[in-house]
Amino acid sequence: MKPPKPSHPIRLVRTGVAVAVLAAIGAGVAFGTDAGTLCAWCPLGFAQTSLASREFHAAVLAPLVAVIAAAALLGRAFCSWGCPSGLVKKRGASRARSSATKRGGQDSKGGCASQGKSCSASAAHPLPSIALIAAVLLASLIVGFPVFCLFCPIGLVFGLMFAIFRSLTVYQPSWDLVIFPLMLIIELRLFGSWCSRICPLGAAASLIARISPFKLKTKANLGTCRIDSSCHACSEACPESLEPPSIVVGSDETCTLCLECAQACPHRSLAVGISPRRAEKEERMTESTE
Amino acid sequence: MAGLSRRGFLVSAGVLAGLVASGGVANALAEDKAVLRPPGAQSERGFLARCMRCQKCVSVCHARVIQPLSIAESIKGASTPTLDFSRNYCDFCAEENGGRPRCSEVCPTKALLPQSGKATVNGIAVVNERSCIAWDWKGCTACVDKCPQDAIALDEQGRPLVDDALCDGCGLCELICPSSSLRSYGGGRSEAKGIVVVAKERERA
Repeated sequence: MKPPKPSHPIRLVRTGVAVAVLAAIGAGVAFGTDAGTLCAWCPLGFAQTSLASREFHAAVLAPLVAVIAAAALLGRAFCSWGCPSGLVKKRGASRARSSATKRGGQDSKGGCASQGKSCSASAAHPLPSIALIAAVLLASLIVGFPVFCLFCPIGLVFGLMFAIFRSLTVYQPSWDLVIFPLMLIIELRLFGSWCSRICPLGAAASLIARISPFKLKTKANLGTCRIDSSCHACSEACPESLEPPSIVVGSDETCTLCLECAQACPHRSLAVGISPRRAEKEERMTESTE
Repeated sequence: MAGLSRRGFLVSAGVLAGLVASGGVANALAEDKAVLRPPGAQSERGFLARCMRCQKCVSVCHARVIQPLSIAESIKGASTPTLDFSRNYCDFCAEENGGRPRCSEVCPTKALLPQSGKATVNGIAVVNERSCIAWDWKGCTACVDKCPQDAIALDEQGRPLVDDALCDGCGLCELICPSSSLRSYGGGRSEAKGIVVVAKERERA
């Protein structure tokens, strides 16, 4: 592990966004709106309650459309920009694992350089993500209540927020103040691959990103990118351990658009943009012929 | 099954096994607990199947009597809404919304069903004979005087009796019961108050 760099402006911005989301929700609660927490927008929460109670809830439609649209446009960007559990998560937690053991279990070692031609860095297979979501839904169907909600780090952060509210405003401290942070630390810090392997929301977002034709992605200016002279600065900075080729063309749907790569790039080659699938293929073609 | 590697399969199987096991434990521990729920709640089991802990009811409650349940009280019910009458009582949004509780209106999964008028019941007030002042020394008529439903009457010995048919569990009696300040007793809420609202299911059991 390399020592942390002195300044991480993009990280500060991301933390700021996540804190702003939390603050907005806290204000919504404090002023008595009917907004609820982010959990009110969770399609998986709706799916679990529908299966547990064996009935359909029409209120799922608005959140479902909103979440699918967001994931189609931004992929897993919520994971690094909006998810409140990011405030607890150790940076680069998933990076500690070797990149060969990513979700999908595909050995991505070597990537573009070793494979020579076909630089199809589209990494993870969709089946593990589908199996994971199915497992969560099946469990709720079996036990008769939305059981994943008990463990969901997002729910735990909001639970902690309410517990702090209560101890400050009505002076009623509860065990939640101890148990919820403990669960968050165990899930996100000790069990470092939660976000990339367990979180069914992230899995769903990458599934949608995978088939989305207009997803925002990282893109390198191939004129200045030094990937051929084995510059892997972007990959080394990537908390998701993505390989340089997939960062350069933005082809990996597990990318959370955290922009650590763009910040780390010594040549300022990386930017984000929407590239239709066809153009991306052409880009890969030109890249492989170079 | 080429795409579903052994590792990916193990993770999903592990998640399924872990969730079913912990859900089963939570179910077993919750078996005979009946938690006081906001107006319009279905049976405890049906409520917990539907509630996704979105906190809409908690944030919309103008009286601030709806609070997330602590995980220490119920693992299965962690962060689901319960009623707390230590600071206020439930008026079923009489002035806010013409007697239609806002909490059940905003519930997205019908864990709370919108109701109005007589049908809306939170629970039943139960006199705690060990704490009630009127049971020891007589003379206290605080709950009898304040009950909006006139559901509490005094027996021949001056002790309060709750009429189950009239009580809607609004919690005003629990809120104003003076026993905790008249007795220097440091016990929990339900011990200190001379009258508390409990879930209907618990009262029947």
